[in-house]
Amino acid sequence: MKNQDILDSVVASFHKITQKNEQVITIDSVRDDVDGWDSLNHVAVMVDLEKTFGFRFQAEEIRTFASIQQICDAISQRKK
Amino acid sequence: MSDPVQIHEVATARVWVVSDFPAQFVSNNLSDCLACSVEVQSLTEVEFSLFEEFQGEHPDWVVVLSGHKSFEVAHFSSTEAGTGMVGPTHANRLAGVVDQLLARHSCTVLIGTLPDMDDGVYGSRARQYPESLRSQALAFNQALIDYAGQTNSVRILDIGLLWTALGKEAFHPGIFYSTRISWSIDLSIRVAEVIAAHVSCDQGQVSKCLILDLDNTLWGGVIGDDGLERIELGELGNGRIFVEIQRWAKKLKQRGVLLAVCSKNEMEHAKLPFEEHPDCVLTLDDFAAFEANWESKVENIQRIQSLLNVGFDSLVFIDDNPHERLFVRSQLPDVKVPELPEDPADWLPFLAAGNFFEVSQVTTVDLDRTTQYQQASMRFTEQQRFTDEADFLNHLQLRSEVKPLDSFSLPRVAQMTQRTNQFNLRTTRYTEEKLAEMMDDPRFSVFTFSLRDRIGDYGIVGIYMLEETPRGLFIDTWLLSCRVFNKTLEHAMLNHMVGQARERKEHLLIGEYLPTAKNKPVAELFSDLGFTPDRDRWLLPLADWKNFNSHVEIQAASSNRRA
Repeated sequence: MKNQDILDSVVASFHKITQKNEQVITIDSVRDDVDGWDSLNHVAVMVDLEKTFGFRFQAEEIRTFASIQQICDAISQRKK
Repeated sequence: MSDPVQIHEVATARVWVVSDFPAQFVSNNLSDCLACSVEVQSLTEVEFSLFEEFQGEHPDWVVVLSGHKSFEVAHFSSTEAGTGMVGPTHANRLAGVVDQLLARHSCTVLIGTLPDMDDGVYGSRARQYPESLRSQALAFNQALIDYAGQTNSVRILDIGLLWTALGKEAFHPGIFYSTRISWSIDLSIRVAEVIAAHVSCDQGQVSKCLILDLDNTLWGGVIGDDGLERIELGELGNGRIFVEIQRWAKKLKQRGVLLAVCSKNEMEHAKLPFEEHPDCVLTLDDFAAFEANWESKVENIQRIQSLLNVGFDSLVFIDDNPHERLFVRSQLPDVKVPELPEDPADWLPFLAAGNFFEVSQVTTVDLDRTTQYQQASMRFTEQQRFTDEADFLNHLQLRSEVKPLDSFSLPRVAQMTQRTNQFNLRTTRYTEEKLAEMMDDPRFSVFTFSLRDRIGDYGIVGIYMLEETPRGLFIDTWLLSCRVFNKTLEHAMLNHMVGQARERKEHLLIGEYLPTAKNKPVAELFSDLGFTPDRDRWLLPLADWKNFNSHVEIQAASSNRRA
């Protein structure tokens, strides 16, 4: 799976969950840059991505993800 | 209130969600589930330990949710301490907190159960060991069920049932260990939906009638083409599926839901299986209305709605044909039309899980409802013989028994305040608890009117509640079942109200009409009855008032000697 496709899905998920479709999210965005990335929306995004990609994140990943890059890497590892 | 076109919203439900784990996914989704019908004013999540001290605005509903992971911790501590019986102890402590809450607030409490759970410590035999996690969780549930059985204000929220339906998707360990959120988002949404169903149901949004198509819905095949021997019902083809669907409808009917047929068919073909097929579970007696013809389903559903005189939003329509479903949905958006799965084998699990028939309480009146609608159709036939309405009403020999509210009529009265939408002047919904308080309050007079005629007994069909105010007697509630409109019972009720007012040495009756989307039939009632408008109220001075002539003869019950 192409990295760009993964990034697009991750960004789409953040847009949907935070209900802010216009905000610019890039591969370099971190938690503080993304408006609405609070602890509840974090969980909602995790679950949304799990449904999109068909696997479950590990507890440590859910706990430590703090950037778009980390999330994309975790997905691309499983979707080689 | 002075603007007559302003629509009075039926109610605002204030819900507290109380949980021993972060349950925001329940409370957040609850607002979405309820947005269409009631506004959730405040959702407050508190810990059980703080619950007793919690001072919020008066709640209408309190939802108490126990997380299975917190229960595991409590179970572990109790095993360490050597007691082990954490289930009943935990449940009793919860019951104590709820009792204190109910002493302060008149509200309905929904208590969540624990799911089927175990930790494998006793292998596969956990159920045989009372101290096992599994046995204690079940003991917790049983203690809660016993507690809920003792009071009408407490209901069980069957988390176990929702959990089982979701299986592995009910719990997300990774999220739990990162956040302490014990339920998956999917489970939280399902729980929110069920809470919303309880609230809407008590607000009067109850499914009262199941309308069924026939061909390929109650049997396989087309009766008009295939004939009695070749429709699939019983052992033939998909016949077992349709037998079960009929059993399901029959059980709903036994619980008080009305059944009706809406089918494109010749009447004689449509009736044949119910009369002659050996495996047909439903009989013609089970249906309150039977429309089989070649007109559109929308017209037939409209006819059923007007015959039964219930709201479109209380109808559920089941049809195998997606085009018919789409058509009905587009023309009658209030009717619930389940989007059935393609394979009939999947229908029952789908319908069972869909919660289309939420219950607030079942009363004995529900159980004879179909009989009553059949009697209504006999009355209709008799009416054809009379050209004059008054002659017909006299012929019916209408008699009404009046009783003050008592503990026997309490459930029916609560239900009527919750379900009556048309002849309902103020649409105030009451719970049994609130009514019990009013029963003991001398400022209130609450009377029930039952009605019978030469054809049958309607049961309790009318209620009024008067409240003493400095200015005069205020009509807090006045309602009449839609089955007894146009029988002049409202005149007999007003006569009785006036008698009651005079007995209390009052000289003024004060009425109020709060318009809703559904109570237009009584918009002119006070004016028709001779009340005079006074800003947003209606007044009836009693000094020179003369009784109406009513076709209903009032019979006082023993405890009340008024005529």
